[in-house]
Amino acid sequence: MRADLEDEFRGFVQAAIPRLRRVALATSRDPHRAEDLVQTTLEKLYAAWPRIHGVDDPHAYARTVLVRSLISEQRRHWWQRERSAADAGHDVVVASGSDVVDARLDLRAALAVLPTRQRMAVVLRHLEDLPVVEVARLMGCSEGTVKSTTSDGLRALRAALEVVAGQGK
Amino acid sequence: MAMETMERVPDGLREAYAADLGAAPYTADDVVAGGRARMRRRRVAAGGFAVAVAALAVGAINLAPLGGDRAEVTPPAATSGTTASTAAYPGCLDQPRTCVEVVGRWMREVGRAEGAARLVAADGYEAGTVVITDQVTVPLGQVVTVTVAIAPTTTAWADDPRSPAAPDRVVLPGLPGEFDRNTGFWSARTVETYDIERGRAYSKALRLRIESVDPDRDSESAMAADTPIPSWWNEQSVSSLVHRLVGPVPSLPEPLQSTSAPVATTPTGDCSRDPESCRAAFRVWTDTYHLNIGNYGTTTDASSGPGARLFTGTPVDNQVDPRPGIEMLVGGTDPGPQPGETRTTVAGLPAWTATRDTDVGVRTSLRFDAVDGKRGSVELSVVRPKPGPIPEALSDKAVTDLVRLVYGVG
Repeated sequence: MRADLEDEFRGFVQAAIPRLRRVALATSRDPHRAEDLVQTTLEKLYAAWPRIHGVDDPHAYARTVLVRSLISEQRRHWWQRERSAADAGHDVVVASGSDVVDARLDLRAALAVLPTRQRMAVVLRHLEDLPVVEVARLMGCSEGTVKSTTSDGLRALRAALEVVAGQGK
Repeated sequence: MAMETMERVPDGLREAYAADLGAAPYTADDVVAGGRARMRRRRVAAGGFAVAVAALAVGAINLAPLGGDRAEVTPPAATSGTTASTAAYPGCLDQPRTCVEVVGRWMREVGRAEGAARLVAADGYEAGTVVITDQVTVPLGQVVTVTVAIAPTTTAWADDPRSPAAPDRVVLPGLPGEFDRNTGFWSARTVETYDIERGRAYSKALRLRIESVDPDRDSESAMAADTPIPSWWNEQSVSSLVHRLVGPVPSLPEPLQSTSAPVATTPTGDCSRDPESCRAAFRVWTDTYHLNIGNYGTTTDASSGPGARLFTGTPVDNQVDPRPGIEMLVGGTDPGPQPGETRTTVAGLPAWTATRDTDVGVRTSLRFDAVDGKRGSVELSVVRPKPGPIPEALSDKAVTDLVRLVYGVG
């Protein structure tokens, strides 16, 4: 890659990392996998940068790669998604006593128990503020499926929040 | 309850994920370095790494500098079906339609295809050309299609829009003459073709084409991704198929060589400094033990520290269901004992073994730590369902061989 393009790419990476990490951490249950996912996404973009650097919104391109990579991740072999049995309890977030922090932790814990596609739909719609049509394109499904998946996700999130809040009390 | 109504979800999400993310465990420099390596791997994936496997098979790689005797890592009795043999096959080119059975049998033996090869239309080729195709889905989901065209004089196909312009000239093990090899990468697919001209040794012109397509990827998500070719597709197996098609050839076997640019495909015994060498080592090792892993891809492993490379695979030959997974982690930082993990030091070696339960099975690991500050660590892990037999890949001999290949000791 030409030096000027590479410099441009570095600038994009620095700007994109926070946004991509936010989506990855929200959509992936495992923070380590989420970080891997972001790094892998950006490495893929490096190779494609000469072609895409001039597009209006390269971040949208990066987000597409990230989401598709996450979907592919879910298709990986069972053993590649393993989690240590000793780590299994780490999803249960203990209340800290601070209302603000507790609210964040509650929401993260509740989000983590949603099925992947529901979690993805909720995050893309309500964290990334993407329109239904764009979420449908990203997830490779119809707009109706996005609406129903998001609705189901919110309902499950509400139920999970009640459970999590109950545990914290 | 921390949130009273679901109308607060968007705000809550932003609040939850805008704060406390901390610093990313990688920098823009890490990403650029990874991107460069990814591009380099993509360029050499189809042809380069196969050279090491083929070279090992024909004895071209001398493992002695790695601290061992090549005889110690000679594969068990050859069962992979990739060994070329001129005597066993009479050839079928004179009656090319009979090559359907030859191609189908080769795909069953080498590629473990379950369907039958078939004749397809020879549109675009010269009159009299016979085109045979067969297909198999490999363990990681790629659909691999092998196509053989047998033409009276030439396999030139003017309408092929995907033919790269600059082929390598390669010599295949045990076959006379040189072959044009084209390797191409498109969205979610890798294509490799071998063209063999009609000549003194060959009564017909041949084109062998393999196409590996990942149906789970579209053009965007696969724009820079490797679509790996299966381990059984290498110069040795190509040679085997050509032998079966053409039968005995008059010229003596020529030494393996390639006119393409040399790439880091030979295990150097210091793969912690050379990820490509590391992948070659993993591939040689898995081929040696007939693990037939379908994917030699690597990924950076952010959870193991900067610079770590993770090699993964699933051995399809292992008679365990579900199949165990094999990982090799090179470099990176040892995070220390994991919860529930007990480590045992290996006497006389800078190494430990450990076993711990996970939610899907038992993970057994062997980790060699850095030696005299010159080399990074290597960690081999096998995850198997519980209870289950210990895979051959975790036998003492197999582990010793792997460590010698990747680490230069053992």
